[in-house]
Amino acid sequence: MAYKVLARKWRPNLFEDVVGQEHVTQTLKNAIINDRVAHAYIFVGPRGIGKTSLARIFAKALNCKKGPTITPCGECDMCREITAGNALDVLEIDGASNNGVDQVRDLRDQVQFAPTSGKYKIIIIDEVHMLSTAAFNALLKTLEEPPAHVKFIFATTEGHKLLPTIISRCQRFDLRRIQTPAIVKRLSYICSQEKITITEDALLAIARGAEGGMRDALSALDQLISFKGNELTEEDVLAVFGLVSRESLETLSSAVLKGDMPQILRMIDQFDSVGKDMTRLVVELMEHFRNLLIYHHIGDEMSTMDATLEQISVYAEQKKLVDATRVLQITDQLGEMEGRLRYALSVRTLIELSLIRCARISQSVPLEAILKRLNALRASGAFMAPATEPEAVAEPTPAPKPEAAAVSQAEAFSQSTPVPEVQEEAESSKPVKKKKSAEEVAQVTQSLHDDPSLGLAQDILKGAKVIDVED
Amino acid sequence: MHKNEKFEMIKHAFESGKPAHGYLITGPLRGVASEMAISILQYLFCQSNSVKPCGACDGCRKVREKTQVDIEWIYPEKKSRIISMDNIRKNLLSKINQSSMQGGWKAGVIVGADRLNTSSSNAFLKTLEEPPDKTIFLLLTEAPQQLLPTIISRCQRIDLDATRQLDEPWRGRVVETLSFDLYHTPIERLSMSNSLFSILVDMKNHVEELVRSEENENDKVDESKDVFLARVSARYREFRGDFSLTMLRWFRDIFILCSGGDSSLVYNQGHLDILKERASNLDLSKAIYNLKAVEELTVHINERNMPEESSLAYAIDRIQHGVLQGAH
Repeated sequence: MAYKVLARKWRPNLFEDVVGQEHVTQTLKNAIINDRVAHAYIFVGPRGIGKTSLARIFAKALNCKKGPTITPCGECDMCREITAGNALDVLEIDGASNNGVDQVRDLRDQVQFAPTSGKYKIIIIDEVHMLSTAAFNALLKTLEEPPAHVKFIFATTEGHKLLPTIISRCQRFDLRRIQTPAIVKRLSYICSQEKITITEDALLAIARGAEGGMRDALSALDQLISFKGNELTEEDVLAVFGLVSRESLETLSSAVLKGDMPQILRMIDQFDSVGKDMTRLVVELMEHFRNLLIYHHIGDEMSTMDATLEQISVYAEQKKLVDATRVLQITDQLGEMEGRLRYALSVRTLIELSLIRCARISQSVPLEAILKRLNALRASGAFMAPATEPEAVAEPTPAPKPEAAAVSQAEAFSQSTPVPEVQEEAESSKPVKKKKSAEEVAQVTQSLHDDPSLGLAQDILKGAKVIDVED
Repeated sequence: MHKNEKFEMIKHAFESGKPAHGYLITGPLRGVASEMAISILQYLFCQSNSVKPCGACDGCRKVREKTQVDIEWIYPEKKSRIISMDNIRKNLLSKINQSSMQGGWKAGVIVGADRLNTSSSNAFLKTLEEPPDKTIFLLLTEAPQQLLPTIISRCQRIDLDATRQLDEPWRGRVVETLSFDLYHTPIERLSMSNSLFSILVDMKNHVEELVRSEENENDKVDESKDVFLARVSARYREFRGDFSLTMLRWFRDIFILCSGGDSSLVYNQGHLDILKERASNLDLSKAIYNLKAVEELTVHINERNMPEESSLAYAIDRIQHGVLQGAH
């Protein structure tokens, strides 16, 4: 017999084999035990998590010679025929290719006849979201009150494309993405059965790359075995799939936080030259900074979530480098980049640009800090606006670094000696200059502080903000 | 990892009896991706008894000439360059579901898999997941991120080195133009954008010639004018994409030097001195601004189909130049 890929060979044959969908398997089992099987089910969920497998298992459970049972034997004619896909009473239809109203009418005619050998006639329609509206509507009456021997099972990745009238006639089950530990467990079971030696780290790397899809994980494992043989390590996984190792990721993120631009550029070059998957790198970086943000807020409680102890110690180290606001800005920047990645002409250039900008974010002085400093200066009596200040605000274009400009403004405040007349002048000139932007910032200014000189300081910062947007 | 190494891996998969039934090959369609597909197919259809693929036997030759009856090549069609559901059903699925003509392997090659639309992708899903025995699908694409995730998850991915470059002499011309110090006055900027636009015009004429001569070779003169224009436009888009890439790389190089990157990271090594001089006159925020301006230009002309001439003029006009600012 021809070789079957692992994802097909290890397609689960029992409810127990389906990983990570206990909320669905338990419900289905209970329905069979209590003899309360509905006439139509919909399985919804992302790719590779067991929709089609569950549909087939359920069909076997209902039609098994010893059934309906929650443990289909897998040996009787019925079970074997369903596995092979040539059972007369179980029609597995590719909804995407047979999506017309005519095909549905044919189907409707067929279901009137009793099953040939099994107890039920089971119609599985996969990718059901591709059925045309007319086809759906042609199915409605049959779906509402089918003959007693007919069961419908639909599977789709896009539940929102189904008509509400279809969904309301079925029991809907939402399948989840499979958690990484569950994937690792299943993979390691399959590896032991297939006599493959593989390290725990390698399994983790595969599971991480699969993003919750068991089929993705198994395809990856398959690819590794066929490329590298029966002994696999983490390096193999990283090399074949172009993933970046934990350490490199941590070095890169530290370089971003420290603002070490040459190091960032060097590392990107290195990743690119060994053919790392750049899109994947962005996703992993985002996850890293997201975890860092969470660590900022909840600290060591994080160990309960999905991060290893080594990772947490890295977060603790990086926490000292940066505050939460800036981590948030960095994640924003990365998120924006991810959106543009799809249409980017040169992914590498985009990543270089974005990471350098992230590095600038982590090195800049945040708005709050400047305001705080201004406030402190004012309280100490040193705060004073020079007479030329409003003009400087009106002409901010040549300022290269907004934050640097703002800091130098703040320094200008601290350097100027207290001359009461000048302060009055600054205050009186403020409403004239502010006229346009006054309405926009009035609310913020008001809510923050009623002091007019602080309002002026904020205006300066607003001016700086405009340059930032153009940057 | 390079092409040969990857090919050895795939060969190993076949020899150990564990091939996948779907491979997603990413890389330039007219370059390494097609070469890889042909190598894999030649391996399968080679009749030689020793080293496969020999490249000399009848089987190998037919694969190379795309006349092998058991291989179905699917291309984007019509003006919209889409692979339609009809195309998939009639030309691919019907053949795949029959047994092979010569009793060996059957293959379906989709050139430009990112041009599958939602319905054709979906029509293909079930077959791609569980194809008949001795059937292999090769999906070739330059933009894997545009494929449905359900397609990707059913394939094994082979990422080939995708460093693209504009063909000479075009690349040289673009870089030469950009290296002129013509950014200071509006007149200079205009002449810069005009020179760049004239490169695009020449390119378009060149592509027309190219497609016409290809058609004459293949005796495809019976094709309608619409189809001819669509083919020209598709080829021209590729050229224009690479043109934009060349511009982007120039400003990226300046940006890299501005942010303290090593000069070995620069693409345009031949113009290192000019690039360094430009970079020394710019601060980082301006270099970033310039790079973003060019990035927007590439989106305008490649994605949004905005007029090339005015888009170029607008982008060049926005480029900030250090010397001018310093002179003030």
